[in-house]
Amino acid sequence: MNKGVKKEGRGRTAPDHQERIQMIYSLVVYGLCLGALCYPWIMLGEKRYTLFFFARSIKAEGVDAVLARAGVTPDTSYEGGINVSLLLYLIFAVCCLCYVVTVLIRKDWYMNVLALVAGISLTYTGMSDAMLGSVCSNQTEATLYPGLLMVLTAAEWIGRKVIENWDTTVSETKVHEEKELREKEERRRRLYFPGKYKKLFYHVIWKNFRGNLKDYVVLLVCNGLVFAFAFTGFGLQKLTEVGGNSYRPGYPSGAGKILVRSLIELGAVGIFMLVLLLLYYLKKRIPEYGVFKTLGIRRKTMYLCMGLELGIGALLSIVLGGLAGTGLVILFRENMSGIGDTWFSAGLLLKSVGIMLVLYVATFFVTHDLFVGFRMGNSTDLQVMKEKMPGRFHALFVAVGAVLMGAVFWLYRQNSNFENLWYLIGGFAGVYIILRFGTAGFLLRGRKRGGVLKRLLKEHPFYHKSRSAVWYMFGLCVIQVCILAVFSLQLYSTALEQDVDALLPYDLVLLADGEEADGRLIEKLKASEGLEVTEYPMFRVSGSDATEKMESIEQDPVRSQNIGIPESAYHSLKRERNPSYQEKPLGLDDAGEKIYVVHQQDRSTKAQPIDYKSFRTTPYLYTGPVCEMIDVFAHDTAFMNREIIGEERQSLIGVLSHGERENLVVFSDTAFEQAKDVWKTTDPFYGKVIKPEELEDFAGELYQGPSKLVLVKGDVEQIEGLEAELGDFRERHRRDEEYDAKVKSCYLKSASRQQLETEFGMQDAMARMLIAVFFAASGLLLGIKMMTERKMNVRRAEFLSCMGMRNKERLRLLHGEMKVYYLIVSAVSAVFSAMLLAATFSARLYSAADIKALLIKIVPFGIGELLLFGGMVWLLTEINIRQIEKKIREV
Amino acid sequence: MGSVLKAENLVRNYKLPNEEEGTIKVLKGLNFTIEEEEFVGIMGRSGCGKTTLLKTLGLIANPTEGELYFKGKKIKSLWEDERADIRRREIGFVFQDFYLMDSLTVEENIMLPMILDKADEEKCFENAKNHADHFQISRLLRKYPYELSGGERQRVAICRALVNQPSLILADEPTGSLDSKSGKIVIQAMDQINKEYKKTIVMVTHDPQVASYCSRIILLKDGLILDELKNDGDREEFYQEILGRMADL
Repeated sequence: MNKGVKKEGRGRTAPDHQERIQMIYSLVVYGLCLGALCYPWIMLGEKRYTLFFFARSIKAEGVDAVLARAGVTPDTSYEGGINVSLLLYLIFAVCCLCYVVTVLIRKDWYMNVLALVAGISLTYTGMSDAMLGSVCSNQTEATLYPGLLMVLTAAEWIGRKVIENWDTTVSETKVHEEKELREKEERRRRLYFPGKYKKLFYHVIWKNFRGNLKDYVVLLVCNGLVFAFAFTGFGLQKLTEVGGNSYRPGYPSGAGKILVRSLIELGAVGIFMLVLLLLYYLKKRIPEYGVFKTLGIRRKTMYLCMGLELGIGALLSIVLGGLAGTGLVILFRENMSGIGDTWFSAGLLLKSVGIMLVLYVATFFVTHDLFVGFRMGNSTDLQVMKEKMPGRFHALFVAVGAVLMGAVFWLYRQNSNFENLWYLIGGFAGVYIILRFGTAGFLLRGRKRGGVLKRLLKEHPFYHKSRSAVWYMFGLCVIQVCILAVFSLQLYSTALEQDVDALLPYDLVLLADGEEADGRLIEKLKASEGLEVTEYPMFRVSGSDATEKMESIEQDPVRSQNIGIPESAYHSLKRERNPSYQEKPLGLDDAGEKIYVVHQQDRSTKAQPIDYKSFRTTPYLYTGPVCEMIDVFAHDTAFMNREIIGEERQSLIGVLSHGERENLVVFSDTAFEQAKDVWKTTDPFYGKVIKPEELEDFAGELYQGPSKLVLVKGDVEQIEGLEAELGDFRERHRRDEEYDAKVKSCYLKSASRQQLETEFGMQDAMARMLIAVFFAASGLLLGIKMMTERKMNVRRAEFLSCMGMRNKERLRLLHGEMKVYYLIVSAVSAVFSAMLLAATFSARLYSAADIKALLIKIVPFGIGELLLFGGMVWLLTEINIRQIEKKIREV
Repeated sequence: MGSVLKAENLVRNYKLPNEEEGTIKVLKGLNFTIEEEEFVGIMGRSGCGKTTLLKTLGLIANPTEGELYFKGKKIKSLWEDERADIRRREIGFVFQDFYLMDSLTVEENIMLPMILDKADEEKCFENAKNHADHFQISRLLRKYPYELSGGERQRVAICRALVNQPSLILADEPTGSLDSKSGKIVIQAMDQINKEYKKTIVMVTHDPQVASYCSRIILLKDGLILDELKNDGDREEFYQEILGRMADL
């Protein structure tokens, strides 16, 4: 018999204190459950029902009648769902009642577990469609109600277990607490270290810190710059947001987007440099703290000193970077038109600080081994230890790298892959593999060839520090490729687009409809002297997928919107641009499955598919306005899977949205005629095909969108004089502009021109700045390499001097090492850049003339940049040699 | 006289920097005792585990297996800060490459263990000066380590090792980086510390001449104790004995 259990009459034991508490607790909780079951939580229209009365109504009147009374459209699917829900509630109620009985008769038949399972099922079904909850007017309450039942049953089950183990838990906790207290006392006694650190301690710590002040300042500045870039980037993103509302946050405008992208690129190189600097700094500082540790400094004190050193640095850089960033944002705000005013928020600050923290944590992980060992009293210098070199399968891995690069460039060259950054990263991975295994293979094979001793000193830095050498080469290659193939293209492709008029052939583009008011405006334009008006049939072609903007998970994607025209209109438009144009059939089908796309974008814009995320070569397109709630995987929609059989990049009606929106989608004339009326039988929200019998339900909801493409050329002043009419026109087409702020019903050349010129100007300036910063970054990287290896080089120089090597020969060795770096980096970067440029030209659908015009500018730039890079390598090597020689003289 | 250090089946393994290369066993089960006021030399070929043993005895590295006792205290049962306290108060370190802080003056370097022990500033200065006077480096107190010769730096390191009046001095090839003249000064200083200050010294060395100053030599080979040699008082004879055993190492 258990302790505390008393014998009752007829052989039963009386419940002990613990069991009694359990019983009371269970009865109270299940009483609440049963009470809740009697609560009238089902609300249909204005009337509330308990489960019982709801079930009775259903039985008496039938599901449809009850639902109709509640204003819910009757549907066969509801009947089953409601019956299942009611059955589950019945099971739940029975379980509750049975459990109450089992508690009273003190039997453990696990009825509470069954009730809990039923409660979970109820919660799950409460959140599902076509169940009881979905027909209630009080949706939130109806969803929460079964959840409450589940929580109550779960609380009862857990509570019982807690009460059951209460005594044991309490006694164990007490023992544990006593043990902890004893340990704490013991710790306090054994680690008793009274008194305060004297002034001398702080003096020593300060002097030790001051010894590294130069490095610290460099770190601080770099830190501050990264923070400033992050801060400015987020601030400008906020400032240049357009079209934001509570439902869908905004996205940056053209110029703002270029600015933000450039700042991201600057931030990326800043991060790269910061991590390197932080690593260099920590590698230098940790051995110094190691002296303190060897001499017996308390752990907490040491970590406090280190934390303060880095923390104050981070804080200072946040303040300085924040100030610099604020200055930059204000500068941009004052000098850019059409941007917002409010930019600062706590979130912005937090995001920027978050980036800094992530960087710090990442760097600490990298230096973890140094932290752990602290290299106390260890004369072994990690910096002079040999790095492991891959010993086997060199040729295989070089081949893998080459294949990877080939595959990546093949993918990158396709327009549908929108110059995806991940492919570029894949290409760089290929370069790394080739460098790592290629150099290892070359060096190890060299050991087997004759004349090893002759080459020993030359090859030693690469042989001994193979991993570091490859990382430095790789880092320099990445920077060089960015300069030679990314920013140079950004710079010169913008320079090619000096003739903005050619990009905007029409002074006014109207996306009108068949309504009388639009007709009157078109007639007025046609009647105006000095204006040349052309009209083409069109319909809106909307995508099921996103535009380029990367939406976050919780946001709905911004659906793409383009202009659908018949093939005959396409040929006319082509003739308009080029009178000698020879018409050739595009090979489009009558079903509208095959389409031809004209990317209306300039040469400075990256490749831009019609659909961004998925189905880029076979986009799901609908020939009507955007259906916001479209489910791309639903089968019964009007969104057809179209095959792009041809595409070109040309401005036929104007570069209205850099190819992100407002591209021309060409259908065969027959397909166009069939497709233009699809909107009449399409659900405007979900894109589903409406059955004839359901058409009435959508009366007043169906919307055609623009149906006439009106292109106007002529006197600008005359067009600007139509301000009032155009204002009315936009007001009438507000619905067309409502969904996406970048898509308009009326495009004025003067406005578009100004926007394009601003964007080109911004891109040009940013490309120049990025080239300068990346070039400086390559210098900084080389500088860090030289600083890190200086100690090792000094030792080597000392040794070689002692061995009787002539100074000239010794210096030639250092120059030779850097020459190898320069030649490998230049060769790899040149080849990679050439391949990348070729792939980009293809992805952007450049013509032969475009390519020629670009190469005439890029090739001399590339040669010049590589020569300049060579000059910088030489200069830094000279400085490094002087430093090494100075050290040797000091020794 | 009680024992300062006692090792029982002491094992120490190292993880190699490249993890895939695994671990290497450096000390493979050593048993010895070091008594108070002893001057013990540890000799052996490069890579036999001398420095590792010294770091383990200095509580810088933990034994992988076995037990180490410092003045009867089991090291494994001590917290990290307790080991730090012992290092600060009971052990003085002298390293081959001096291990001085270039950003601090000689005086500050000497005072460092006292500063870390929250000692009175006056006492710090006094002790530093006394030791500097003893080792004839008073004129260098305001200088920085990089301005000194190797021998001078090592004497600074010895002063630092003594300043907190520890009971044990651990020296890792203290004459290794020095010319013979400076080396002689340093080893005579060590001998003096042992005899005058009654400090226990454990010194790692390659040099038989230097080792001949010790009262006992532990010969290590491949992480195991090969032999122990005792100095009967005649240094020249002991030197010859060490030379004779060097061939076995």
